[in-house]
Amino acid sequence: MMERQIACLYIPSFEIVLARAQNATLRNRPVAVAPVHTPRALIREVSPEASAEGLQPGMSVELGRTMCPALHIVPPDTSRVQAAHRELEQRVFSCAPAWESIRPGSLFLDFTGTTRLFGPPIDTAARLGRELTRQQGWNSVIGLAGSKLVSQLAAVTLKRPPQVLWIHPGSEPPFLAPLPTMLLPGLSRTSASLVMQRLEDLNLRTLGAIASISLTHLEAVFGASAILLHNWALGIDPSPVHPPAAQPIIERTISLDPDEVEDPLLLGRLYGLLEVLCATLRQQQRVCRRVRLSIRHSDHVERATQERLSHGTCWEADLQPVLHRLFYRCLRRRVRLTRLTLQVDRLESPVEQLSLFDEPTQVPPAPHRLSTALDVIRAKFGEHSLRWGKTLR
Amino acid sequence: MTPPFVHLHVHSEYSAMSGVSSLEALCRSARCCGFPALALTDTNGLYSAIRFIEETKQQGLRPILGAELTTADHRAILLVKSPDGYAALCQLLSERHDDPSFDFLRAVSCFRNGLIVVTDDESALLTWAAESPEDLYVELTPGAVMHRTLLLSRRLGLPPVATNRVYFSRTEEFSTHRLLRAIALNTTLSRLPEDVCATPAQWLISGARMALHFPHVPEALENTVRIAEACHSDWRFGETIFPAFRRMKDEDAFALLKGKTYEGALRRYGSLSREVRERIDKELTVIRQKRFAHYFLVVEEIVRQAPRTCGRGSVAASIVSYCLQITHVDPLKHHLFFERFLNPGRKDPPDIDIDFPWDERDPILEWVFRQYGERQAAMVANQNSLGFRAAIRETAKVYGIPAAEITAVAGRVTRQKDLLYFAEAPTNEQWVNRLSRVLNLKTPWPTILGHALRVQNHFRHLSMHCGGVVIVPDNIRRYVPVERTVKGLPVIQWEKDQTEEAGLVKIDLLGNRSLAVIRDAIAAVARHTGRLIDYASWDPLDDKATQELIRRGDTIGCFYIESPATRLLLRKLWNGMPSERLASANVFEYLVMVSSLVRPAAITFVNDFIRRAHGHSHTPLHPLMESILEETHGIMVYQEDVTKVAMALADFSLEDADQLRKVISKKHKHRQLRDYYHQFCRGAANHGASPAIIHKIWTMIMSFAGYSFCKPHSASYAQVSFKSAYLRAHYPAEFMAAVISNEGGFYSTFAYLSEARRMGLAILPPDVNASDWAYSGEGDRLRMGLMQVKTVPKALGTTIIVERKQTGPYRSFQDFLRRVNPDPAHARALVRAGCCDSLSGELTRPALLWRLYAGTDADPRPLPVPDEYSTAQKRAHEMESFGFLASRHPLTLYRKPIERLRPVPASQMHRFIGKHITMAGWLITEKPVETKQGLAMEFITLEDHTALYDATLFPDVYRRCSHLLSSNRAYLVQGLVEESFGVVTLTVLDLRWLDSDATNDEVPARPHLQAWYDDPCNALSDPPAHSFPPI
Repeated sequence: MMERQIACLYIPSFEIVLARAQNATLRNRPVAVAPVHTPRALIREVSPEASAEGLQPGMSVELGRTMCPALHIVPPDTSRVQAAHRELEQRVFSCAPAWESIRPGSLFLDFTGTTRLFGPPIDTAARLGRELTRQQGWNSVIGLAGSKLVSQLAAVTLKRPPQVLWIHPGSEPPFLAPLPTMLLPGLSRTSASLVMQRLEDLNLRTLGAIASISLTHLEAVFGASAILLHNWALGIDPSPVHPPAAQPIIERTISLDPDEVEDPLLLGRLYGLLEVLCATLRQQQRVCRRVRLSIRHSDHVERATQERLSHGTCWEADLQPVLHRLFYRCLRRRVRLTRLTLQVDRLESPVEQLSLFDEPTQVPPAPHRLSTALDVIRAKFGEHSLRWGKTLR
Repeated sequence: MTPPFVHLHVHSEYSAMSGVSSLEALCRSARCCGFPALALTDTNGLYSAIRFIEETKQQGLRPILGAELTTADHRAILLVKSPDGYAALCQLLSERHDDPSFDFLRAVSCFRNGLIVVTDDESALLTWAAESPEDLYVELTPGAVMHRTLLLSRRLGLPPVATNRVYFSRTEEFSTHRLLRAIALNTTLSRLPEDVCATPAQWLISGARMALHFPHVPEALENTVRIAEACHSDWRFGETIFPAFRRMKDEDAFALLKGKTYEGALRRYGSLSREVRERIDKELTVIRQKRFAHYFLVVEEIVRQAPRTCGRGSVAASIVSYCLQITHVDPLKHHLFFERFLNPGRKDPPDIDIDFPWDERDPILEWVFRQYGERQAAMVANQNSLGFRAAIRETAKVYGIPAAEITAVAGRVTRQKDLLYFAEAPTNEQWVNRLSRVLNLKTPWPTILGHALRVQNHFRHLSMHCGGVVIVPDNIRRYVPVERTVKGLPVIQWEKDQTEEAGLVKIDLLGNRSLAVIRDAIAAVARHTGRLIDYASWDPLDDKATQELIRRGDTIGCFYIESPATRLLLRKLWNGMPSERLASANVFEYLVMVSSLVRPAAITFVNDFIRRAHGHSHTPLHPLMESILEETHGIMVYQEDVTKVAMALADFSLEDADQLRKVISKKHKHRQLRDYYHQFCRGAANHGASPAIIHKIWTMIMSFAGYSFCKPHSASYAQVSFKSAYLRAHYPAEFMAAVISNEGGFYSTFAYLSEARRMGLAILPPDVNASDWAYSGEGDRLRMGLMQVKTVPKALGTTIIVERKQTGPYRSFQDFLRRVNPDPAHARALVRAGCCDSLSGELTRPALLWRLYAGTDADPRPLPVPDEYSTAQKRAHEMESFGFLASRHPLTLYRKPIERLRPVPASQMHRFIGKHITMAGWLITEKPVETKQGLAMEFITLEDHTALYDATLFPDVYRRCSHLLSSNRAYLVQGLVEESFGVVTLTVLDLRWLDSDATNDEVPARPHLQAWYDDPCNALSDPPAHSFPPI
């Protein structure tokens, strides 16, 4: 059996890297990503400077500020992060036949069997890291090993990007032994909080400490999780790299400045977006089967909701009631909005059943004809040549 | 000619979150429109009935009391036609609030007598018309449905009556009404449904305008006048309604009171001197004349339910209450002025305030309700309104502003609002514009602030007064509508001022933590030493050690005299007092004065008081005041000084002078106070006082606004303070344990533990084999209780202790688990807090937890023994378990910056008077205040591990540094050491956070700074077993 070569590419503090690219004043100072709408929020990500002050993801913002008074909090921006992650995926897909997203800014790349095509995996990984730094300004760390787990742990142990670490087959146990158990993937999830708590309670702070305990004893304390912990502590992880299944989408976003909370105005703006999306669909001769609305509040909280359509459509008249429902389902907080994003996907070509007989052409419904007429006028005189009153408020 | 019309359906701001206009605005508008009368029909309540009557009298209108009774399905206006009708309305409203199965139609049918009913509710009209059409009207209001309602009126043969369902006095206030509705319904203006709001036309329009809507039904207008004339308007609230003691007749009650008084007098005094007899007789005469015997007997019976109480307030001036053990201060010995409590001319009933240990107060209230039933007794309400900050917050929410931004802007606005320096009183618009400019507020904040000004002070909901109970002889629901609190207690719809003005007698039953502290400390002393202290007869006033402790201001933990301001005042007072005065000065008498002087408005007189107490001569402001204020060195200290000065200097009658004293502390006082001011000026001028002197005296009188005490109250408090101080002086461990166990007073648990260390007590960690649930203290050791371990429930704590006491100490962790069988989460909390260290033997804390998690079904092979937690981990667990660091002073975590900066220790501060120094400190308390010019500043108390010290941030420094202040932080403070009356404080020039030292565990202290770190926090030279390890 061919030896597996799996790389874990990880851009440390990805959200902070993106925020710093946008705001230079955030460079070289302690920064953390956390929701800002509640003082009880937890920190999601910290910059190396904040990490040096003792801050960790999962800490409360309040504690973070106490420990590091100079801490600057950046609110999470899902749209920006997702767009950047898509960009990252574009960069890596040419050098690995299979890749799997872990989270924004992190990917597994399966280099197994690519040596004759791209050269040794360690070289491919190093080349990829250099390209990301040069082209995007994203410093990455890459761990290379025979399993997803070890490659991921190899990546997260690298402190100063860009760096690559290759764990040779057979050298996993000595590499893993001194690593903190908190590096094990998934432990920060709520479902694993009991495991994490018990590891901390029992002072099992390294993977070596776990590996030194018999499986029977681990089972007595960790139950069903014991076998996984035991295997991971020994570097055993046979799970494959799952390639993604991508779907085309059409998306339009509008930023609200100043931010707004009044329904008529927001619905007007949304209708404007809907018109643009429908025109695009008609232009591409497609229909959509799903609509998704994402909103971003002034306190940076984001909400999204979507609805599947019983039949594909590209007409405003069909989608407007859906949009209304989505809007009222999505905007439940009494907080102003700064951004509206409307997305349509499950795109299809319109299915039209042709008649077997020579029948007079059916006149399309009036709303459809009106939309078509507006398309023509806008194509001729510009996007803003004609607008509905409700979109002007 | 103005068409005949009276508004019979009017909502004031007391229709919670829907009515807009104040009573004053409505009455003024009604008078301007020429209406002879005005009805007040707030939704489901008579929340402002007493104030409405007063306001209508001021405006020359006839008041018509009523309410709009509403449920989800029905509504009707109920107007009071007679006093019986008022009682019926109160009953009806009480049922509406109290009865979950309230049947609207049936209830109104039952209580219709004495009420005029006006409604457009068809089903209600059909039901009630079938019973009797008398006093039943159909409500016609201009609008889309008026025609249909008119047809209904004609079909049923019921007379129509015109109303405008007024929610605001001016049509411009419609936007405020919508805002209030949006706040109430937690929505935005664009999502506010139309049917939950009034229309812009529902304002207090003139009769002429109203007539334009009813050209076809003139009788609807005429009927309003007819109804107004039929309604009762000669309201005479104010006749005192006393509780009846065991349904006795007045004479029987008086005879019983007299007997009990003389019995009590014999117990208190041993034998009855002429002075005692005369005072008792004098008081009993007034009590009989005012029919107060029932009231005394009721209170005496309540007080008898608890062995330790503190009767406070003016009642402590009464020898009768002293004899009945309602109070514990001898009014003769301390020269207490009985007339402050009760005098023949006093029209309003004085209330009696009793403190109970905080954890005994609720059982006492339950007893009262058991004894008198919910029919006769109810709690007094607080009428909560939208304060300025809440108004900003709620309005901003309606406008969709994020919470963080609201908090930030509201804080800035609150700090800046009084600092805008207008030459003349600004309009709302001017104020908002200036503020927006100063704070650089962007849209929509100016709009929000404008609206917030309009909605502030609007009634929002009732809550329960902290302890006021009203007891009546028959049914409380005849006098005032009663609602029910979340805790299930009945509460009347009036707050204390309206309650009092309506003649209802209030008894305040309040919780007091210090009484519980004294109780627990006395019990511990009895257990440890066998010495029994009888609370009632115990008189520590002459105890030298206690007096010395009070003189030093070492009073942290002592009732009422532990705040930094009071401790500073005590130290200043006694530090600089010449020895000849010191020898004769009575510590208790001065403590009584100090208790009264520590109030915000009196702060300007404090330094004069201290100087004079030190023997500096002074000239009285007026010769007539000399004898009155001789005892207090010419300063008006007590409330009764106001009464006495007004009588002596301005020829006030006793009643007027007493009324002046009361009016000063009322909310709605301006008009009355203006009249009294003129009366005072005239009277004082007649006695030769110059305008400047009159101004000075009046300023002193006004210093009693806000809160102030009478001498009897201060004496009562001072006695409890003295008892606390005695326990602190003689039984410090028992006392501090009781203070912390009863959740302290002014300071945090951490601050009390620091103080305990400074007192020389060793702080021992909680231990399942040694701790009680509460803290326990004996000798020089203070053991933390299991209560301090977060997440451990009291039931488990009790089980641990009971099991230990019954079966003996736990021998091992397994033994503990087997005998107590705790929930694993709770056992984990105990292990991480170190409570099981004494059971661990060779095992580490992680090993204990392994045995906890593995249970008994584990592998028979020996379980692993993981390494012990690191010091940092243990410290983190300690913070998590207790909420503070108990094993060491938190400043020890700042070793490196302290080594570098070498701040002056607090204990050495006095050596640097007049010099600029740098100090480190942990913030203990904050007291924000304002200067006379309205500038914000703050007094703070910090501590290092050598001592507490007080510092002042004057306005310019405060403006710069206020954002840095937060509790539980280490600070580096630079400032000037200043001395006043022998007491040093630090005037802060700069303040910043002290950066923590991440590696302090590993860095050894430099020898010259040993004093900072190596003085063990535990003052014992040889720490006892299981105490925290030295730093």
